[in-house]
Amino acid sequence: MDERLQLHPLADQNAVEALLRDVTGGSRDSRLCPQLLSIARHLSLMGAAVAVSQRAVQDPDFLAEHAAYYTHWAFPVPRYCIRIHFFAGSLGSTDVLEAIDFYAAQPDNRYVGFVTLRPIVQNPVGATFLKKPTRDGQRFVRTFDKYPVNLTGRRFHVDATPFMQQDNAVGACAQASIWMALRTRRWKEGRSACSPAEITSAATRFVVNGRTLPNRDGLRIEQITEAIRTAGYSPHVLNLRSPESLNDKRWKPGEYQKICRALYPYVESGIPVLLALMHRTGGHAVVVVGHAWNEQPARETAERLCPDGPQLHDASDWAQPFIIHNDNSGPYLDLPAGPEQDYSLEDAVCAIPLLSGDILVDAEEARTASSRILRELFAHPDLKKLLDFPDALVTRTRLLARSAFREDIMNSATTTDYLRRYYRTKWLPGHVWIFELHSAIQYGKSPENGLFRLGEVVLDPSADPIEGHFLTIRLNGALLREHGPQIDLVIDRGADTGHIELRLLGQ
Amino acid sequence: MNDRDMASAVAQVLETGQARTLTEEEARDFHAAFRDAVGPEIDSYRESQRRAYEDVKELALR
Repeated sequence: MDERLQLHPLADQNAVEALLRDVTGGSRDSRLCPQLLSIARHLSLMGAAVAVSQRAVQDPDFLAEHAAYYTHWAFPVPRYCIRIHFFAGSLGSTDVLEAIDFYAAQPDNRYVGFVTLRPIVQNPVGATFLKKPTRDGQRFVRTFDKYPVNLTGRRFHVDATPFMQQDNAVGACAQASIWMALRTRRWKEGRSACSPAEITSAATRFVVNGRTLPNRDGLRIEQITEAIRTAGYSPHVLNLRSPESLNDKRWKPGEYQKICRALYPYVESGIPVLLALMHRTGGHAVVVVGHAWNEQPARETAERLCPDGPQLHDASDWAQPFIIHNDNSGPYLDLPAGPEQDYSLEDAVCAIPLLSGDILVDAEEARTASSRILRELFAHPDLKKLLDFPDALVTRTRLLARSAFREDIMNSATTTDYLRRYYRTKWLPGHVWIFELHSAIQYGKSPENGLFRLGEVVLDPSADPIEGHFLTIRLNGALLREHGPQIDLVIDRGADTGHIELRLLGQ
Repeated sequence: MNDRDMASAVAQVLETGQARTLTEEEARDFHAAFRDAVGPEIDSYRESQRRAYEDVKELALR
């Protein structure tokens, strides 16, 4: 009897590959597609030791693709998918339900995620949610969510960035990338999910450059922005490299750092970024979901706060290379700087961060406005004698939800109780841009633990940065000549009144 | 940027330890001076982004 649920012990990566090959109907000697090979490698790294295959799954995304396209075929294309769930750790029972119950009862989360396999031989990988890489490997996936997964009456969770291969009939890489980005933000932004078929429909509502089904020609940038706008996000396109400059593939001095600096604030803020690549094989879209960590980066440039002030290094210097979801090669892959035969950051033309529609200030504007405030204020001759800046500081720009910002302050080991009280009670908008100042000493050790934040500028992302409508400017006493780290200088601006008050907290 | 008032206020707070509120006129001057200083840079950035979009909007990704 072909049971709907089957248990598969997995000895190693070869066993994962064999299972995927078997389920997708490949012969023993056939090669898996690159996406499935990459998925098998990732599952092996995550310690997947047991799989549960689930047949006749009504996957909502494939059902939508089926209704839009395959249902018109005379040849009957199955509507249902196969889903394979993966678990780490030893097998608790040889009975599939007992094994699921065993994993559900474990105090540590052993669920590694699932792969949905469409009944389409050329493009089998449907909605796939795999546990993100662990931090031990110095790989930091920032754009993810915690997804509940129901299996035979048991509930599991997986921290994942959704992945999907293009269907090639309903959508190309652009639709797959938009789907991955939208699905990542779906619950955090409280927006509806869009299937690839709905993304194609939204993208081609006003601008059409050929038939929309089958959609093998992909989408133009202007169609991508329309689809994103329809989903409730800002159609904001960041220029990275001009299409002409791609002919001369080599980086100009400082260009690589500039692009990393442009992308990093969004990635570090958990905002997926659609990256448009112009490769010799044609245009392609990927999603930036995280970054690796380079403890000792080679730096070409550093700005100074003022001519004789400290050097300002951007945190993006350490956060390289970026980690991407590439629908035609797999999830959680490094995007090399280049030059490469395959895709690299050198091919990047533009980027579209999935900014909520009410965010009116982008990262570069926030960084420019904040650094300008600090530069103009603290480089002033009246203040120089009162300040004690080190030779170098690290700046990091992030967009945080108000609650995340407050949690960040609460959890910071270097924040005083007075400062915690200040930020917990200050009125803040739903999101804030934070331009952080960190000590450069040992910053390379970690992007999160042990950081010593020395100050920040907090901006309202819904206000025009030109107006200087900051919410808070703070400098820790470690940067003040007559004060210690238990004191903070706070310049507070009332968001509604515009009143600016300066005070020392902690004395 | 004429930031003398704000910088002087910061210096005063650091030296005396006493809180200080900018007068309406001082705050207005600060914002006006900031607008003059940062406005051209941000306007130029926005204009370059708009021009770049015109160059890439018809690129097809597949």
